[in-house]
Amino acid sequence: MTPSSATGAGQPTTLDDAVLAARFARGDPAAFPALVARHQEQVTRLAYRLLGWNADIEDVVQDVFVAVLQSLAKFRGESRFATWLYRIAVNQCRRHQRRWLPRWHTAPPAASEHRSPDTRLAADETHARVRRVVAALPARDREVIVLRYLEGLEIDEMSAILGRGPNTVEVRLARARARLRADLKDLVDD
Amino acid sequence: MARPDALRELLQCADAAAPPLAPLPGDLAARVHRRVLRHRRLRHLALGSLTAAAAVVVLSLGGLFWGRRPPVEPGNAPPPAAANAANWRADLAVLEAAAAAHTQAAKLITAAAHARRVLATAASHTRVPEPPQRARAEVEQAAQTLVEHGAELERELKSPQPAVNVFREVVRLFPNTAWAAVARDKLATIEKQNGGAS
Repeated sequence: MTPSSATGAGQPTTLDDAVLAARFARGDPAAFPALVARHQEQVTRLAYRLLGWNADIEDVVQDVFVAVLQSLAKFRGESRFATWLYRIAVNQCRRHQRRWLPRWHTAPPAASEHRSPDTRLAADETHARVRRVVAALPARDREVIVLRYLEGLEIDEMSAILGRGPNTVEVRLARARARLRADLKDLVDD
Repeated sequence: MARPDALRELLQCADAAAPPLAPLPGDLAARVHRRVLRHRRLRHLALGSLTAAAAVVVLSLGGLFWGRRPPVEPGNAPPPAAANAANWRADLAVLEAAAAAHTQAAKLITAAAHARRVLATAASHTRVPEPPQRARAEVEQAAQTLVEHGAELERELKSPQPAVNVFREVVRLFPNTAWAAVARDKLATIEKQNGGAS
């Protein structure tokens, strides 16, 4: 689920998240597994994208829910639960990248890669190259690209998640987009 | 000039073509619980060791401070024999104070080491995967919470749709639980009522 859209459960999801968080704060231990079951797929997907489509993300997802468990009792519902959860996920991904920086760093490939005659293979190579270019962006640029284009969030929601003003987020997004356009010039400027 | 959404499309295609992720373990919540418990134990252990070390330092400094001999003023100097006896008594008091401080410190260190051993044993036990029954019970409990919540919505709201959404979610998220069967029953009942009403 993104903060702006509900899951397959429909509209009451946001309300239910807050209700479950409140139940947990009142001492109902079953509320936490329910929240995990609801959100683990979304958190996993976000972490997968933020960490450059690296499959080794189970630890990060666990870290996210450990942080959620430790601070869930303090959740006051001032922001939406999904926004709060995304903020935690982004912070945990940043922390993980700082710790494992050499492992996660991927150099962007050269623009002129040889193309396979097979069209499908060529498309796979192109997609892999795009993912490598995104993964090689500075973390803050990658965050805005992932949140905006892959998670489909609005600037206001991104601003709440990243803890920066909307103008800062827009500037960062424009800069990240310019970098991507430069790195993927041959694919974007048709 | 580039199309306005070309970059977005390219990114979304690349994301969709990414290799699929392996599913996460079903007992993620139970694993998270265990990790939090382990962190808490380690924090208590660190705090206990720190307290013991601080107590040792304080007691040692106290022994040194209280064991110092008071200065003798020239006019009040006792006669030689009495002075010797007084000196011996003062030395004895210093030794007793030091011995008491050391005994206390040794007790604290022993207690801290014992606590560390106990906690290390407990931590090693928590590393052993718990029986699947516990994870199963947690999943059942989570499903129960959602079903109860759905029932609350059904009672309190005039429209059954929010409750239907919650019951469907229980069936989707916890399909193999007893509570999924309850949710299915509830859905069937609501459907029947709606059919009867319309």
